[in-house]
Amino acid sequence: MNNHVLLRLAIAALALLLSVAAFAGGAQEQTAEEEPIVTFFANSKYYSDNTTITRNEAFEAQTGIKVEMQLVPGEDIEFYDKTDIAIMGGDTTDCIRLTNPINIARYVDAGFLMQLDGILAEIGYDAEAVYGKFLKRYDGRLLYLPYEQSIHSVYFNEAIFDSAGVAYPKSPWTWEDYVATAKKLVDKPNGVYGSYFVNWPYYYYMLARQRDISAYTEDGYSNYDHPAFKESLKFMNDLGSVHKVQPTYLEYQAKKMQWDTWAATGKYGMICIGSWFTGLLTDPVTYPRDWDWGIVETPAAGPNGKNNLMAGGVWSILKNAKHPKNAARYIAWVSENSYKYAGGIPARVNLTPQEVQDLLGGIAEKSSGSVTVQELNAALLANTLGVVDEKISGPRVREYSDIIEQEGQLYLSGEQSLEDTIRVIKERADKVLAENKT
Amino acid sequence: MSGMKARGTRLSLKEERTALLFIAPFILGFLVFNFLPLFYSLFLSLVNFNELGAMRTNEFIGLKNYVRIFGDRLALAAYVRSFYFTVIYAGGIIVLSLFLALLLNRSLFLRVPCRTMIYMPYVANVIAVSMVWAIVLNPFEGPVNALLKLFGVPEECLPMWLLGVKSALPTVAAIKIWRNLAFQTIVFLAALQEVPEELYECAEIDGAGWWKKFYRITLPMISPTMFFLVVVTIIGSFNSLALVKGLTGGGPGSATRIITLFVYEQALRYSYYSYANALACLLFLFILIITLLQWKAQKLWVHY
Repeated sequence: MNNHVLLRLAIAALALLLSVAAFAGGAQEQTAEEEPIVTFFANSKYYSDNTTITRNEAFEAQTGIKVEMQLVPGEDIEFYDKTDIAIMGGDTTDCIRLTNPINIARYVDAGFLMQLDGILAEIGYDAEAVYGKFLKRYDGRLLYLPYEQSIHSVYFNEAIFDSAGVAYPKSPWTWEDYVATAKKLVDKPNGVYGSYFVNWPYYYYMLARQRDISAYTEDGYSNYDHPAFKESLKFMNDLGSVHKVQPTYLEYQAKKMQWDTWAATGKYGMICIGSWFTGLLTDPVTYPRDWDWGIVETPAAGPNGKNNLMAGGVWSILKNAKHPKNAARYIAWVSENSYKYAGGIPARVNLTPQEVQDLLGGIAEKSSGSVTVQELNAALLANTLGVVDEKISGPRVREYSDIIEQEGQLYLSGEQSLEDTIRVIKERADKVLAENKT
Repeated sequence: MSGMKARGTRLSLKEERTALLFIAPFILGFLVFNFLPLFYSLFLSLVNFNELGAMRTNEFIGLKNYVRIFGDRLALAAYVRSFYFTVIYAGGIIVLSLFLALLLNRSLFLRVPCRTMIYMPYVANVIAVSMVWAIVLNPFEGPVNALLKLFGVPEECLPMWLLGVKSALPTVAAIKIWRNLAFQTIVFLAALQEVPEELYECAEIDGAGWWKKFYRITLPMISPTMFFLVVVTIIGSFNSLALVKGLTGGGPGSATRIITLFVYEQALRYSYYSYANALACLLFLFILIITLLQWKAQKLWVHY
């Protein structure tokens, strides 16, 4: 074929391609606001979760607004790595679910979240009446709606207790009681342990948090040399290495144990974790089990540590949202109703006592008789403990948390002494915080 | 005569244009996806865009991000770790792949299945590879340590593989060698098959043994191929992000936190975008210097 013809064909093809791209982009913008659609970022697990799909279908049926999930491969860390870049690049996805206080703080500081007061007023939604004290404002601005309060408690496998002939734990109790109980449950030949802690870094400083010790000094440096942090890290290590009531950190890593191993295997006596965990224990399809479970309030960390750990997930509208009104309707609906599908405790103040009982009754019913409403109420809502944030919060918190995790791993795997670990955490954190000040 | 010359010139011009047309898509792609991002990365490393939020590239700070690198103990440690990783990986894979190629170059029983088995890891998904090796190298219940115990290795001497601070990085390097062996082996095999048989026959007549034949004939004849493989292997060794993330996540502690993972974390976890670009540009410079040094040194050992 003649070169001139070839060249012309190539130029024509390129021109066509560019114009299709431009036209298609324009066409999308023209129909965006008119379509009854709402979009949100969903990680891999959330995207394929039956509970999420059922909940979205219920919203669609009620409002006529189609819900489209934008799949972001990965969970937690990888998920937010990608959404950070997408949002910075001007992505127009409407909503996002933030489950980690660290990421909530990052997104607030980055200005990624749309102020909700105006848009909620436009759709006639009174957030104060629904969420009250659970609403958090930033310089008077409302940036997200809380959909759950994740309250820690201890869940226990009744079959393991029955098999060991040990009485079920009762509150109030302490971590010393917890360890003593766990020791009685261990049955090494059958692969049964008395305790299980997910390898999440906030457990490394759990006791310090229960005593409401801040990870920051008043002048904004690291407070990690406070004795409470050393004691807390040692406690976590001793569970596996000294008391041998749970797998050691190395065993945990070697076997690639997960956050749902306790519910999936039935081989561990107790676990201390947030109330979102009831969602797993009431999901017989994903977590079939032939044993009953019980619940009791979190042990206290001594006379000054009578606090429970709390966190909460939130829904927010992203600043570049293409369908802000639909997004407002969605986050309002899902924040109010999420607990009906996924379990857990909503962060609402407008539930009547009967509704609270019904909520707990729903969990109790789905537990197939494992727990009663009274037991759930005593452990989660009417317990003897105060409340503190489960995670540290402050400047450069993500780096600070990573430092705690990295150095903590070295101590837990026997590669570094406790004293050196605390010293290095403080040094590294101080360096990061000093850089932040400049 | 002049007519023929004119026609010849017209033909070569036409051929040139056709050639340009055929390579135009590649050039366009290279410019858009390689060349421009390289310069944009350099630009980003010279501004102060180190925070999550709206893109801000209007504060020029010169070489401050680069100066920060040399004061960052963790960054320097990541570079050192990467060089250490490269030495193990590049050295190991070149030697092993040449050895395998020499074996496969003989008439070997089940030669085709052997070649297939060598190639299979190369096409396997990196995360699947990570998961399988984590199970195999489980220091408590994995088959490797179980086998070592059977051979009488005391329990306290059993290696921790991916969970040991000292053993994690060499283990990751070994897994990467296993995974990428196929490419080097096949290229070496192709080079070995190009060596004329007559050279070996002459050497045999002169009484040369196996080692002499290998050292005096095989190595010099395949030296251009070896040079190419050494260069690409060293460059490729710095790009092990997926495997490290899948196997160890940079741990235990920071034992396997190589520079590419460090750059990834600085950019995506901590939002130090400009700093991460400075780290990446410096890495590019190091690799460039190493490659240039190798290019200069080829005169000493590569025979064309």
